[in-house]
Amino acid sequence: MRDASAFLGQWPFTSAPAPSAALLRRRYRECGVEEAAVSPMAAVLQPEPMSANLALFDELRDGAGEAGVALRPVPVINPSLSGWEEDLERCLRLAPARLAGVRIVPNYHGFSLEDGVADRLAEACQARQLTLCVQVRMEDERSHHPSMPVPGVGSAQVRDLAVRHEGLPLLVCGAYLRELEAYAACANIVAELSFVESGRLLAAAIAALGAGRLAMGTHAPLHVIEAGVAKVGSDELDAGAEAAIGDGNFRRLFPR
Amino acid sequence: MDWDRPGIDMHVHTRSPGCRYDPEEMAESIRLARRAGISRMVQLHNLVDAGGVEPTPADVRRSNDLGMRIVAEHPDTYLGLCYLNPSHPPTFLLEEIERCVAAGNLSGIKLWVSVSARSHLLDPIMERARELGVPVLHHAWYKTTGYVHQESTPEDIADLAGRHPRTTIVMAHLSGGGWRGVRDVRAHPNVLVDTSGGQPLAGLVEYAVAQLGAERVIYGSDWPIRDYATQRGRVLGADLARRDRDLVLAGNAARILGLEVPADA
Repeated sequence: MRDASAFLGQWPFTSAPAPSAALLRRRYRECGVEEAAVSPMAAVLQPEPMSANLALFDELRDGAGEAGVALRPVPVINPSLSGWEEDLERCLRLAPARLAGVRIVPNYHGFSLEDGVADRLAEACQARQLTLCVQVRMEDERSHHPSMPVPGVGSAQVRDLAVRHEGLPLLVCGAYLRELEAYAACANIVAELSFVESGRLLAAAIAALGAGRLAMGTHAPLHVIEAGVAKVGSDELDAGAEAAIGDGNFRRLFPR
Repeated sequence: MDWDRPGIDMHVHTRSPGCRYDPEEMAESIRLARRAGISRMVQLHNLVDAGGVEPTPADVRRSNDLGMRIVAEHPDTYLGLCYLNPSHPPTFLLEEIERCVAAGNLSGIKLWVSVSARSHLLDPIMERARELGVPVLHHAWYKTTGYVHQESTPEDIADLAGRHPRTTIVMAHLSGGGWRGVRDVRAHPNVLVDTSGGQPLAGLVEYAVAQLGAERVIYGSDWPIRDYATQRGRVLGADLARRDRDLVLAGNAARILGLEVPADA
């Protein structure tokens, strides 16, 4: 099993303590997860993401750790900031392992996917064969801090970005089940499952996108890892579909 | 993780339109529950399709007829609660409790968003539940995005619990109330919190157990809005002692519903 969407670090709107990389690896091991794509949590709200990206790289320098779980770095890039191109190059140069991809958090960083900045980053990712991870929400909007509501990223924006960059692999992170249909026509979009839930969630998600375009995701450490893992086993799937969602699609998105 | 302990799900619904009994829906629901390690479930019917936020007496009867049918068809799997709209006349409320709980096969009462938990319209319901020794499960949520009709918050549930300290209340939706909601009801030992609904937020089940005691936290999924396995996974993944986890997954529901705790699978 591989986790397509996780973070390291403390989210300020929860009092649950964030695990260290070593503890996160141990928890993954207990749940049968052998690899995860991990971004720095601090980069979501800090004024520039590179301090958090570099701290993440430092924390991941010991490889798979004692638990033998590989945490693949997914730095956060804010393409609305001057000099983001240099940030991307530094990440490529300094990361302790091959980058799994690059994550953007448009709603927290104040840009729209309709802005030219997102297109320029998309082009840069495609040129470097990096998956672009689009974080469409961090929390259920109903439970945001009352003074700090942040709307989710509209699915039409994500779809249109995918259409404009059809050769770019896009991983949509944090989408609800009802949003998946908007991505049906975009073969370059894969969705991770951390916010996808209903009765028969796998059947519904597969009906929307197909098993080849879904990936297990936990949204750890905000969400319980076991809950994300349990989704993959929540219904009977043929072996091919289960392997694709739990493992194969991750490998395709994030080749070593 | 221990996936073999059978659980009791305190909070499930149906989805077939018109409060219709659908054998295929039931079969699928039971199949997926069993797959997730759930042996028994408490059925709250399809409230959205039973008159929406202000059901008529006929809507309420229709919903409860479905609940009683489900329990009758699957007595070893389902229990059910009696749905009520507290704005209806007290004579109807008490007659419906008599029909469905005292003389029927339902095991408690379900309240949603028709009337705030602070309203004294709830008082005859709460008093009759106390006399019968059955729990009242009440929806609650803190929402940044606005409330539905007369939707209650955990603070409203605390008010209700203070007015009726001898009635057992299950406050629904741990993730909806969040950390603040747990604190709201902490001083009211007659309130349990169900873990159903919302995202499986890390650390919240542990916080609820630490603040309320394991005897006051109870597993629920909110199927089919949510998923059995995912919502059970949030409990299995919580850092709890074995005894506490067993209470959350089965022991507490068994206690308040008068069931035997399921044996190990």
